[in-house]
Amino acid sequence: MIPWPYAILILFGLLVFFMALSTPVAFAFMLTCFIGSILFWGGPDMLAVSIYSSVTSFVFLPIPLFILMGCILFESGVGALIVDTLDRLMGRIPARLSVVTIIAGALLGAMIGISGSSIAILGKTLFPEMLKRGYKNPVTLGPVVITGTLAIMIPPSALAVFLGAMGKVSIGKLLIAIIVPGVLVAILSIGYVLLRVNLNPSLAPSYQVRPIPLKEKLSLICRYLLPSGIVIFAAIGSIFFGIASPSEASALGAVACFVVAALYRKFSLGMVKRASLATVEITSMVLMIVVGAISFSRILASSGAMTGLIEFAKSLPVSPMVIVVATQIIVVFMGCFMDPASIVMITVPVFIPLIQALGLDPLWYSVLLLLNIQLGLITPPFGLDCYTMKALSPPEITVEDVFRSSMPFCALGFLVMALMMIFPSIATWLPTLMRVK
Amino acid sequence: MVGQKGVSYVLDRLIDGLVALACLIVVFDAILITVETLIRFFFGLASSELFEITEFTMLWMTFLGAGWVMKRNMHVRVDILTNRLKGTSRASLLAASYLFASAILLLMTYYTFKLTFEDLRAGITVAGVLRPKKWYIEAIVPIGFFLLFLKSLGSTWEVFRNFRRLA
Repeated sequence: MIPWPYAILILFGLLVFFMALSTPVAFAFMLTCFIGSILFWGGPDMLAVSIYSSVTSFVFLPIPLFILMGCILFESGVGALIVDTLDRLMGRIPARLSVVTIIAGALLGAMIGISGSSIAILGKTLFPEMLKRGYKNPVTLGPVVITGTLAIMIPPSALAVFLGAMGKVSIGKLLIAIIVPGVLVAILSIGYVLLRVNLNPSLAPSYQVRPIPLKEKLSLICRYLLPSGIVIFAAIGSIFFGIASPSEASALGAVACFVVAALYRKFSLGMVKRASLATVEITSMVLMIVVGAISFSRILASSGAMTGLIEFAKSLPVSPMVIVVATQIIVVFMGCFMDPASIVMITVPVFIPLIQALGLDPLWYSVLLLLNIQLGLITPPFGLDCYTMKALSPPEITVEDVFRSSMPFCALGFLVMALMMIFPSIATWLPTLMRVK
Repeated sequence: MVGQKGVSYVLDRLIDGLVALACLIVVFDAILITVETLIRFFFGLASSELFEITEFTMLWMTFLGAGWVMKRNMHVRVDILTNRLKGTSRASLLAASYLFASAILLLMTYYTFKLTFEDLRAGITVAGVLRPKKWYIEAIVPIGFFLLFLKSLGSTWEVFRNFRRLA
């Protein structure tokens, strides 16, 4: 029997080694599992069994279907239609377009389960308009980038499903628990934009907005915003009111997106083809990582490493909160170099059992972890959301500009994390109101 | 060279066909589960069979699309080291990465094929309501790994062929 510290060293050492070689993450997990299965399972035959059973599970179904929702809204142009309506509805307020971007991001977040789609929709619609109106980088780039975080922190969220499935945390409760922190990020982001513009009005020159009569406003709401309510109710409301499980809600949400696209006459076979292909690309990429990561966590458990690590952590003469903070710092560090799915796969099988053993609420910790992992997408040097934004920007805007503008919003995310540590009910209150399904 | 191009063409068309099937599965799952949920909600009729089918489709969708993801070079990598290296070191690292990937994919093809074949011979069925032969569900795993191996082998060959240019 290999002592647990060596087991951890061997398994994580191999994983880091293969990843550093630039081997695709999914195959780095499999290489590590192959060697791990020889060391701890007596041969790779068990690994084949583990691969088969890893993704053959109903709990993973929301992942492709939440992604499909985002892809339908993006490919059909319905997302852009909703953004345009919100833009017309908002009156004359300071930094109007920046505020509209964040509100639209929150609304799209309630219909889209992946961060890239929100950024792409807003980056193609409101961002060029902000540039045309003479808005400066701090109030253009940052607001668009933070909508990626809102897409994940406001359900539906594919990453939350992953995290819940890997950590064996109730996915339904997790999806509801992220709502308040997500909305808090949105409110603080709007507050920051208004404060910056108040201190320096030249950041967002004011301009004349055509006043819209109340009758027209109501007509716009009925025609363009209420139908999106169908999607939100199907994907979130059905979970909250106990009508459907997360897997069922994801299917209802996807079909609702098809219905809404058809209502706007944006439904076509070409759109379905493009949306489903984009869904399969992302799903297959991520579930291949899951295939390796689940076997990795099983090997980790049977090596005795997890039990040893938990016993060690429990014996430390420090408060459990110190361990929570230490694990979050590790995630912040990993976020600088790795993609969210890989971080979830590596950290969740270790951290969630540890947190449970320390007597803390895994639901609260999962919300904290999810926000932290998502913020990794806007931290340099490998913040993917910032690179997506750069790709949508004109050539004179550099990656550094995007990162610099996103940093205050990232700091707001960390502020929400700190608030959740001090007031855990920010994350745990809403799930207590659910009708459990 | 013509033979290699021919194999590559056939492989790519096969991957295109499989990903099209995966796309159908995604839409099929969404419609199937929606219908099941509505029937359960309005008529109180639940169907375990549909849940089992969607569980199997998750495995099929993953491996049907895996070759396409490889073809599009979309598998996530951590490029922190390779981006900082130049010349021969970078080319060597890339070559090692592709070799490792090809090796594990070949090994996984073998072991998952072995498992599928043993289950076929033993006539094992999946526990549950539908009780299909287990190998029906498992068969996609060695097929998926084999296609991934072939694509990876092609990429490895390209890296070695262009080693000097990469260096």
